Amino acid sequence: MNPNHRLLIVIGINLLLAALVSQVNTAFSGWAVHFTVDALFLLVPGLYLGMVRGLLAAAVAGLAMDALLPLPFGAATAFYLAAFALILRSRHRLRRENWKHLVMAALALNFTYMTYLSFFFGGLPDRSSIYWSRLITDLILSEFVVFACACWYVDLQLTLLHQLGANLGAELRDF
Amino acid sequence: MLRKRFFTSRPLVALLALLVVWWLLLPTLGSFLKLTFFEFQAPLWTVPSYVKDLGEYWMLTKHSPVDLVEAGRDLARLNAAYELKLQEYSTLSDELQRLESILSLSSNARFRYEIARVSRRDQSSWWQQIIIRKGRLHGIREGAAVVYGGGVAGRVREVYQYSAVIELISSATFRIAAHLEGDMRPATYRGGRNLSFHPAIGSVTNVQSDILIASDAPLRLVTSRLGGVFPDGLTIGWVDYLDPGSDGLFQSGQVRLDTRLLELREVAVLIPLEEERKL
Repeated sequence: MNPNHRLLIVIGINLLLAALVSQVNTAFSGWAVHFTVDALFLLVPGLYLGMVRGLLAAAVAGLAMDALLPLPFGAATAFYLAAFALILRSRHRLRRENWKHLVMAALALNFTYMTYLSFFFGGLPDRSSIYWSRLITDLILSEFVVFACACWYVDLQLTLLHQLGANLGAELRDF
Repeated sequence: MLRKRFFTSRPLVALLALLVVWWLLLPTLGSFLKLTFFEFQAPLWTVPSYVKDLGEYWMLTKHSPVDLVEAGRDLARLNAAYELKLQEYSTLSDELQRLESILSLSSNARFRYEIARVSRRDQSSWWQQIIIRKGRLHGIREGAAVVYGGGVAGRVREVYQYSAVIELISSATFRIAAHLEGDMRPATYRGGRNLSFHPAIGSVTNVQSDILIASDAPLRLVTSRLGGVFPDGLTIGWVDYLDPGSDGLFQSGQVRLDTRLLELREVAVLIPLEEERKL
Protein backbone atom coordinates (compact mmCIF):
# COMPACT_ATOMS: atom_id res chain seq x y z
CA MET A 1 0.00 0.00 0.00
CA ASN A 2 1.21 3.49 -0.85
CA PRO A 3 2.33 5.07 2.48
CA ASN A 4 0.53 8.29 1.59
CA HIS A 5 -2.75 6.39 1.46
CA ARG A 6 -2.32 5.54 5.16
CA LEU A 7 -2.16 9.23 5.86
CA LEU A 8 -5.33 9.86 3.85
CA ILE A 9 -7.15 7.07 5.71
CA VAL A 10 -6.16 8.48 9.12
CA ILE A 11 -7.17 12.01 8.05
CA GLY A 12 -10.46 10.71 6.61
CA ILE A 13 -11.38 8.79 9.77
CA ASN A 14 -10.46 11.78 11.93
CA LEU A 15 -12.79 13.98 9.87
CA LEU A 16 -15.57 11.39 10.23
CA LEU A 17 -15.04 11.36 13.99
CA ALA A 18 -15.20 15.18 14.02
CA ALA A 19 -18.52 15.00 12.14
CA LEU A 20 -19.83 12.38 14.58
CA VAL A 21 -18.81 14.46 17.62
CA SER A 22 -20.49 17.52 16.10
CA GLN A 23 -23.71 15.50 15.71
CA VAL A 24 -23.50 14.34 19.33
CA ASN A 25 -22.88 17.91 20.53
CA THR A 26 -25.81 19.14 18.42
CA ALA A 27 -28.06 16.47 19.95
CA PHE A 28 -26.95 17.29 23.52
CA SER A 29 -27.00 21.09 23.15
CA GLY A 30 -30.45 21.29 24.78
CA TRP A 31 -28.92 19.90 27.98
CA ALA A 32 -26.17 22.53 27.89
CA VAL A 33 -23.31 20.04 27.79
CA HIS A 34 -20.46 19.88 25.29
CA PHE A 35 -18.03 17.06 24.59
CA THR A 36 -14.41 17.86 23.68
CA VAL A 37 -12.55 14.74 22.56
CA ASP A 38 -9.69 16.22 20.53
CA ALA A 39 -7.09 13.89 22.07
CA LEU A 40 -8.55 11.05 20.00
CA PHE A 41 -7.41 12.74 16.77
CA LEU A 42 -3.78 12.54 17.88
CA LEU A 43 -3.47 8.96 19.12
CA VAL A 44 -2.84 7.11 15.85
CA PRO A 45 -0.74 9.88 14.23
CA GLY A 46 1.35 10.12 17.40
CA LEU A 47 1.73 6.44 18.24
CA TYR A 48 1.59 4.59 14.93
CA LEU A 49 2.63 6.91 12.07
CA GLY A 50 6.09 8.10 11.09
CA MET A 51 7.21 11.62 11.91
CA VAL A 52 6.35 13.38 8.62
CA ARG A 53 3.04 11.63 8.00
CA GLY A 54 2.05 11.89 11.67
CA LEU A 55 2.87 15.60 11.66
CA LEU A 56 0.77 16.12 8.54
CA ALA A 57 -2.18 14.18 10.02
CA ALA A 58 -1.96 16.23 13.25
CA ALA A 59 -1.68 19.52 11.30
CA VAL A 60 -4.70 18.74 9.10
CA ALA A 61 -6.80 17.78 12.15
CA GLY A 62 -5.68 20.98 13.91
CA LEU A 63 -6.49 23.20 10.91
CA ALA A 64 -9.89 21.54 10.54
CA MET A 65 -10.64 22.35 14.20
CA ASP A 66 -9.26 25.87 13.84
CA ALA A 67 -11.70 26.62 11.02
CA LEU A 68 -14.58 26.21 13.48
CA LEU A 69 -13.31 27.73 16.70
CA PRO A 70 -13.69 31.41 17.61
CA LEU A 71 -9.97 31.57 18.45
CA PRO A 72 -7.02 33.21 16.69
CA PHE A 73 -6.46 31.01 13.64
CA GLY A 74 -3.73 28.47 14.32
CA ALA A 75 -4.34 28.13 18.06
CA ALA A 76 -5.64 24.55 17.80
CA THR A 77 -3.01 23.62 15.20
CA ALA A 78 -0.24 24.89 17.48
CA PHE A 79 -1.55 22.70 20.30
CA TYR A 80 -1.97 19.67 18.05
CA LEU A 81 1.59 19.99 16.75
CA ALA A 82 3.02 20.48 20.24
CA ALA A 83 1.05 17.48 21.54
CA PHE A 84 2.19 15.40 18.58
CA ALA A 85 5.82 16.33 19.29
CA LEU A 86 5.32 15.37 22.94
CA ILE A 87 3.82 11.97 22.05
CA LEU A 88 6.59 11.36 19.54
CA ARG A 89 9.19 12.16 22.17
CA SER A 90 7.63 9.83 24.73
CA ARG A 91 6.69 7.14 22.21
CA HIS A 92 9.39 4.77 23.48
CA ARG A 93 8.12 5.02 27.05
CA LEU A 94 4.50 4.31 26.11
CA ARG A 95 3.39 0.74 25.45
CA ARG A 96 0.77 1.41 22.86
CA GLU A 97 -0.50 -2.21 22.94
CA ASN A 98 -1.34 -1.75 26.62
CA TRP A 99 -4.81 -0.20 26.80
CA LYS A 100 -4.07 1.43 30.16
CA HIS A 101 -1.15 3.41 28.69
CA LEU A 102 -3.24 4.39 25.69
CA VAL A 103 -6.18 5.56 27.77
CA MET A 104 -3.97 7.43 30.24
CA ALA A 105 -2.21 9.25 27.39
CA ALA A 106 -5.57 10.18 25.82
CA LEU A 107 -7.02 11.41 29.12
CA ALA A 108 -3.94 13.49 29.90
CA LEU A 109 -3.91 15.01 26.40
CA ASN A 110 -7.60 15.87 26.53
CA PHE A 111 -7.24 17.44 29.96
CA THR A 112 -4.31 19.53 28.71
CA TYR A 113 -6.26 20.65 25.63
CA MET A 114 -9.22 21.83 27.70
CA THR A 115 -6.87 23.65 30.08
CA TYR A 116 -5.24 25.26 27.02
CA LEU A 117 -8.64 26.48 25.78
CA SER A 118 -9.44 27.83 29.27
CA PHE A 119 -6.22 29.80 29.06
CA PHE A 120 -7.35 31.34 25.74
CA PHE A 121 -10.73 32.30 27.15
CA GLY A 122 -9.25 33.41 30.47
CA GLY A 123 -9.84 37.08 29.69
CA LEU A 124 -13.60 36.71 29.50
CA PRO A 125 -15.69 38.53 32.11
CA ASP A 126 -18.03 36.84 34.57
CA ARG A 127 -15.77 34.00 35.66
CA SER A 128 -18.19 33.05 38.38
CA SER A 129 -18.81 29.73 40.08
CA ILE A 130 -21.19 28.97 37.18
CA TYR A 131 -18.25 29.16 34.77
CA TRP A 132 -16.16 26.71 36.78
CA SER A 133 -19.11 24.42 37.39
CA ARG A 134 -19.91 24.26 33.67
CA LEU A 135 -16.24 23.80 32.76
CA ILE A 136 -15.74 20.96 35.25
CA THR A 137 -18.97 19.23 34.13
CA ASP A 138 -17.88 19.43 30.47
CA LEU A 139 -14.40 18.22 31.42
CA ILE A 140 -15.69 15.20 33.36
CA LEU A 141 -18.13 14.22 30.61
CA SER A 142 -15.47 14.66 27.90
CA GLU A 143 -12.94 12.60 29.84
CA PHE A 144 -15.54 9.88 30.30
CA VAL A 145 -16.18 9.79 26.53
CA VAL A 146 -12.42 9.69 25.83
CA PHE A 147 -12.02 6.86 28.36
CA ALA A 148 -14.83 4.91 26.71
CA CYS A 149 -13.81 5.53 23.10
CA ALA A 150 -9.98 5.75 22.99
CA CYS A 151 -9.26 2.01 22.58
CA TRP A 152 -12.20 1.45 20.22
CA TYR A 153 -11.18 4.39 18.04
CA VAL A 154 -7.53 3.35 17.79
CA ASP A 155 -8.63 -0.25 17.06
CA LEU A 156 -10.97 0.99 14.36
CA GLN A 157 -8.22 2.95 12.60
CA LEU A 158 -5.67 0.13 12.91
CA THR A 159 -8.16 -2.49 11.67
CA LEU A 160 -9.05 -0.35 8.69
CA LEU A 161 -5.38 0.28 7.89
CA HIS A 162 -4.64 -3.44 8.25
CA GLN A 163 -7.62 -4.44 6.06
CA LEU A 164 -6.42 -2.06 3.36
CA GLY A 165 -2.96 -3.60 3.46
CA ALA A 166 -0.98 -0.96 5.36
CA ASN A 167 2.21 -2.21 7.00
CA LEU A 168 2.50 -0.07 10.12
CA GLY A 169 5.48 -2.06 11.36
CA ALA A 170 7.48 -0.91 8.33
CA GLU A 171 6.36 2.69 8.93
CA LEU A 172 7.62 2.58 12.51
CA ARG A 173 10.89 0.89 11.50
CA ASP A 174 11.44 3.64 8.89
CA PHE A 175 10.90 6.18 11.62
CA MET B 1 29.09 51.37 -3.01
CA LEU B 2 25.57 50.03 -3.39
CA ARG B 3 26.68 46.62 -2.15
CA LYS B 4 28.25 48.20 0.91
CA ARG B 5 25.09 50.19 1.61
CA PHE B 6 22.98 47.01 1.33
CA PHE B 7 25.17 45.18 3.83
CA THR B 8 25.07 48.04 6.33
CA SER B 9 21.29 48.22 6.12
CA ARG B 10 20.81 44.44 6.22
CA PRO B 11 19.22 44.42 9.72
CA LEU B 12 16.68 46.98 8.52
CA VAL B 13 15.87 44.92 5.44
CA ALA B 14 15.42 41.85 7.63
CA LEU B 15 13.11 43.80 9.94
CA LEU B 16 11.04 45.04 6.98
CA ALA B 17 10.81 41.52 5.55
CA LEU B 18 9.68 40.21 8.94
CA LEU B 19 7.00 42.91 9.22
CA VAL B 20 5.74 42.21 5.71
CA VAL B 21 5.47 38.51 6.51
CA TRP B 22 3.82 39.19 9.89
CA TRP B 23 1.31 41.79 8.68
CA LEU B 24 0.54 40.65 5.17
CA LEU B 25 1.45 37.05 4.49
CA LEU B 26 0.42 35.41 7.78
CA PRO B 27 -3.11 36.94 7.95
CA THR B 28 -3.67 36.18 4.25
CA LEU B 29 -2.49 32.61 4.67
CA GLY B 30 -4.55 32.24 7.87
CA SER B 31 -7.79 33.48 6.29
CA PHE B 32 -7.17 31.36 3.19
CA LEU B 33 -6.65 28.22 5.29
CA LYS B 34 -9.65 28.98 7.52
CA LEU B 35 -11.89 29.49 4.51
CA THR B 36 -10.59 26.37 2.75
CA PHE B 37 -10.88 24.10 5.78
CA PHE B 38 -14.34 25.41 6.68
CA GLU B 39 -15.75 24.96 3.16
CA PHE B 40 -14.04 21.56 2.88
CA GLN B 41 -15.69 20.32 6.09
CA ALA B 42 -19.08 21.97 5.64
CA PRO B 43 -20.70 18.93 3.90
CA LEU B 44 -19.82 16.81 6.96
CA TRP B 45 -22.52 18.52 9.01
CA THR B 46 -24.75 19.84 6.22
CA VAL B 47 -25.42 16.38 4.75
CA PRO B 48 -26.52 14.82 8.10
CA SER B 49 -28.78 17.83 8.58
CA TYR B 50 -30.46 17.19 5.20
CA VAL B 51 -30.70 13.46 6.00
CA LYS B 52 -32.40 14.31 9.30
CA ASP B 53 -34.87 16.57 7.50
CA LEU B 54 -35.61 13.75 5.04
CA GLY B 55 -36.16 11.30 7.94
CA GLU B 56 -38.58 13.74 9.55
CA TYR B 57 -40.39 14.17 6.23
CA TRP B 58 -40.81 10.38 5.91
CA MET B 59 -42.01 10.20 9.49
CA LEU B 60 -44.61 12.87 8.75
CA THR B 61 -45.84 10.99 5.69
CA LYS B 62 -46.73 8.09 8.02
CA HIS B 63 -49.31 10.23 9.82
CA SER B 64 -52.92 9.19 9.34
CA PRO B 65 -55.11 11.27 6.96
CA VAL B 66 -57.28 12.25 9.95
CA ASP B 67 -54.24 13.88 11.62
CA LEU B 68 -53.41 15.72 8.41
CA VAL B 69 -57.00 16.97 8.01
CA GLU B 70 -56.97 18.23 11.61
CA ALA B 71 -53.58 19.91 11.12
CA GLY B 72 -54.85 21.51 7.87
CA ARG B 73 -57.92 22.83 9.65
CA ASP B 74 -55.82 24.32 12.48
CA LEU B 75 -53.46 25.91 9.96
CA ALA B 76 -56.38 27.40 8.02
CA ARG B 77 -57.59 29.06 11.24
CA LEU B 78 -54.13 30.38 11.96
CA ASN B 79 -53.80 31.67 8.39
CA ALA B 80 -57.07 33.54 8.71
CA ALA B 81 -55.85 35.17 11.95
CA TYR B 82 -52.51 36.06 10.33
CA GLU B 83 -54.21 37.57 7.29
CA LEU B 84 -56.09 39.93 9.57
CA LYS B 85 -52.82 40.79 11.33
CA LEU B 86 -51.16 41.44 7.96
CA GLN B 87 -53.91 43.87 6.98
CA GLU B 88 -53.50 45.63 10.31
CA TYR B 89 -49.72 45.72 9.82
CA SER B 90 -50.08 47.15 6.34
CA THR B 91 -52.38 49.93 7.60
CA LEU B 92 -49.98 50.75 10.47
CA SER B 93 -47.00 50.74 8.11
CA ASP B 94 -48.73 53.19 5.74
CA GLU B 95 -49.63 55.39 8.70
CA LEU B 96 -46.03 55.35 9.91
CA GLN B 97 -44.71 56.32 6.48
CA ARG B 98 -47.24 59.17 6.27
CA LEU B 99 -46.20 60.49 9.69
CA GLU B 100 -42.53 60.19 8.80
CA SER B 101 -43.04 62.21 5.64
CA ILE B 102 -45.08 64.88 7.48
CA LEU B 103 -42.47 65.23 10.23
CA SER B 104 -39.52 64.80 7.81
CA LEU B 105 -38.13 61.96 9.93
CA SER B 106 -35.64 59.46 8.62
CA SER B 107 -37.44 56.16 8.15
CA ASN B 108 -36.61 53.06 10.22
CA ALA B 109 -34.47 50.39 8.66
CA ARG B 110 -36.55 47.73 6.91
CA PHE B 111 -35.55 44.11 6.65
CA ARG B 112 -36.09 41.01 4.58
CA TYR B 113 -36.25 37.71 6.50
CA GLU B 114 -34.04 34.91 5.16
CA ILE B 115 -35.18 31.66 6.77
CA ALA B 116 -32.39 29.13 7.34
CA ARG B 117 -32.15 25.67 8.90
CA VAL B 118 -29.59 25.03 11.63
CA SER B 119 -27.09 22.34 10.66
CA ARG B 120 -24.87 22.37 13.75
CA ARG B 121 -25.13 23.59 17.33
CA ASP B 122 -21.87 24.16 19.18
CA GLN B 123 -22.48 25.33 22.73
CA SER B 124 -19.51 24.87 25.02
CA SER B 125 -18.59 26.61 28.27
CA TRP B 126 -16.48 29.09 26.26
CA TRP B 127 -18.51 29.84 23.15
CA GLN B 128 -22.10 29.40 22.01
CA GLN B 129 -22.61 29.28 18.27
CA ILE B 130 -24.70 27.64 15.59
CA ILE B 131 -24.08 27.06 11.90
CA ILE B 132 -26.88 27.60 9.39
CA ARG B 133 -27.30 26.19 5.89
CA LYS B 134 -27.37 29.56 4.12
CA GLY B 135 -24.53 31.93 3.39
CA ARG B 136 -23.20 34.65 1.13
CA LEU B 137 -25.08 33.33 -1.89
CA HIS B 138 -28.35 34.00 -0.07
CA GLY B 139 -27.47 37.61 0.73
CA ILE B 140 -26.33 37.04 4.32
CA ARG B 141 -23.64 39.43 5.53
CA GLU B 142 -21.46 39.58 8.66
CA GLY B 143 -23.04 41.33 11.64
CA ALA B 144 -26.64 40.72 10.50
CA ALA B 145 -29.25 40.13 13.20
CA VAL B 146 -30.70 36.64 13.64
CA VAL B 147 -34.11 35.98 15.18
CA TYR B 148 -36.39 33.03 15.95
CA GLY B 149 -39.85 32.44 17.39
CA GLY B 150 -38.70 33.39 20.89
CA GLY B 151 -37.03 36.69 19.88
CA VAL B 152 -33.37 37.44 19.26
CA ALA B 153 -31.15 34.43 18.50
CA GLY B 154 -27.83 36.18 17.90
CA ARG B 155 -25.65 37.85 15.31
CA VAL B 156 -23.89 36.54 12.19
CA ARG B 157 -20.16 36.23 12.98
CA GLU B 158 -18.74 34.58 9.86
CA VAL B 159 -20.20 34.07 6.42
CA TYR B 160 -19.19 31.44 3.90
CA GLN B 161 -20.57 30.58 0.48
CA TYR B 162 -23.35 28.21 1.60
CA SER B 163 -23.23 28.53 5.40
CA ALA B 164 -22.85 31.07 8.16
CA VAL B 165 -21.70 30.99 11.80
CA ILE B 166 -24.01 32.70 14.30
CA GLU B 167 -22.93 33.83 17.75
CA LEU B 168 -25.84 33.20 20.12
CA ILE B 169 -27.07 35.76 22.64
CA SER B 170 -26.15 33.30 25.39
CA SER B 171 -22.46 33.56 24.42
CA ALA B 172 -20.33 35.34 27.02
CA THR B 173 -18.82 37.64 24.37
CA PHE B 174 -22.20 38.84 23.03
CA ARG B 175 -23.23 42.43 23.82
CA ILE B 176 -26.16 44.47 22.60
CA ALA B 177 -28.02 47.70 23.39
CA ALA B 178 -31.40 46.99 24.99
CA HIS B 179 -34.18 48.51 27.05
CA LEU B 180 -36.90 47.23 29.31
CA GLU B 181 -40.41 47.13 27.90
CA GLY B 182 -42.21 50.39 28.63
CA ASP B 183 -38.99 52.29 29.39
CA MET B 184 -37.03 53.66 26.46
CA ARG B 185 -33.84 54.46 28.41
CA PRO B 186 -30.99 52.28 27.18
CA ALA B 187 -29.39 49.42 29.07
CA THR B 188 -26.74 46.88 28.10
CA TYR B 189 -27.39 43.20 27.60
CA ARG B 190 -24.50 40.73 27.85
CA GLY B 191 -24.48 36.97 27.33
CA GLY B 192 -23.79 34.95 30.44
CA ARG B 193 -22.28 31.74 31.68
CA ASN B 194 -24.53 28.76 31.29
CA LEU B 195 -24.82 26.01 33.83
CA SER B 196 -25.05 22.43 32.54
CA PHE B 197 -28.57 20.96 32.43
CA HIS B 198 -30.07 24.45 32.87
CA PRO B 199 -31.60 26.97 30.44
CA ALA B 200 -29.40 29.75 29.09
CA ILE B 201 -29.06 33.05 30.91
CA GLY B 202 -27.62 36.50 30.32
CA SER B 203 -27.26 39.71 32.28
CA VAL B 204 -28.43 43.28 31.99
CA THR B 205 -26.50 46.28 33.29
CA ASN B 206 -26.93 50.08 33.30
CA VAL B 207 -30.64 49.87 34.18
CA GLN B 208 -31.96 53.11 35.71
CA SER B 209 -32.30 52.99 39.50
CA ASP B 210 -36.00 54.02 39.54
CA ILE B 211 -37.17 50.84 37.82
CA LEU B 212 -38.84 48.33 40.12
CA ILE B 213 -39.82 44.77 39.31
CA ALA B 214 -42.61 42.99 41.16
CA SER B 215 -41.77 39.43 42.16
CA ASP B 216 -44.76 38.04 40.24
CA ALA B 217 -44.40 40.24 37.13
CA PRO B 218 -41.02 39.91 35.40
CA LEU B 219 -40.13 42.60 32.88
CA ARG B 220 -39.41 41.87 29.23
CA LEU B 221 -36.01 42.99 27.97
CA VAL B 222 -36.17 44.03 24.33
CA THR B 223 -33.74 45.20 21.67
CA SER B 224 -33.02 48.85 21.17
CA ARG B 225 -32.60 50.62 17.84
CA LEU B 226 -29.41 52.17 19.27
CA GLY B 227 -27.56 48.93 18.54
CA GLY B 228 -27.94 49.63 14.82
CA VAL B 229 -28.40 46.03 13.74
CA PHE B 230 -31.61 44.99 15.48
CA PRO B 231 -35.01 46.63 15.03
CA ASP B 232 -36.63 47.95 18.19
CA GLY B 233 -38.76 45.75 20.43
CA LEU B 234 -37.58 42.18 19.78
CA THR B 235 -37.60 39.99 22.88
CA ILE B 236 -34.20 39.20 24.38
CA GLY B 237 -35.42 37.62 27.62
CA TRP B 238 -37.11 38.23 30.95
CA VAL B 239 -35.71 40.01 33.98
CA ASP B 240 -37.00 38.66 37.31
CA TYR B 241 -35.12 40.97 39.66
CA LEU B 242 -32.63 43.84 39.72
CA ASP B 243 -29.80 44.49 42.15
CA PRO B 244 -28.46 47.96 42.88
CA GLY B 245 -25.02 48.57 41.38
CA SER B 246 -21.98 49.58 43.41
CA ASP B 247 -22.13 53.15 42.02
CA GLY B 248 -25.74 53.64 43.21
CA LEU B 249 -26.77 55.09 39.84
CA PHE B 250 -27.67 51.96 37.93
CA GLN B 251 -29.04 48.48 38.57
CA SER B 252 -28.14 45.13 37.08
CA GLY B 253 -29.80 41.74 36.93
CA GLN B 254 -30.00 38.31 35.41
CA VAL B 255 -31.85 37.77 32.14
CA ARG B 256 -33.79 34.53 31.70
CA LEU B 257 -33.55 33.42 28.06
CA ASP B 258 -36.07 31.28 26.19
CA THR B 259 -35.52 27.55 26.69
CA ARG B 260 -35.82 27.01 22.90
CA LEU B 261 -32.59 28.96 22.33
CA LEU B 262 -30.37 25.95 23.03
CA GLU B 263 -32.28 23.73 20.60
CA LEU B 264 -32.75 26.02 17.62
CA ARG B 265 -33.64 24.24 14.40
CA GLU B 266 -34.62 27.16 12.21
CA VAL B 267 -33.80 30.86 12.39
CA ALA B 268 -34.38 33.98 10.29
CA VAL B 269 -31.56 36.32 9.31
CA LEU B 270 -32.58 39.98 9.01
CA ILE B 271 -31.13 41.45 5.83
CA PRO B 272 -31.46 45.25 5.58
CA LEU B 273 -33.28 46.15 2.37
CA GLU B 274 -31.30 49.35 1.93
CA GLU B 275 -28.01 47.46 1.98
CA GLU B 276 -29.34 44.88 -0.45
CA ARG B 277 -30.49 47.55 -2.87
CA LYS B 278 -27.01 49.12 -2.83
CA LEU B 279 -25.44 45.76 -3.74
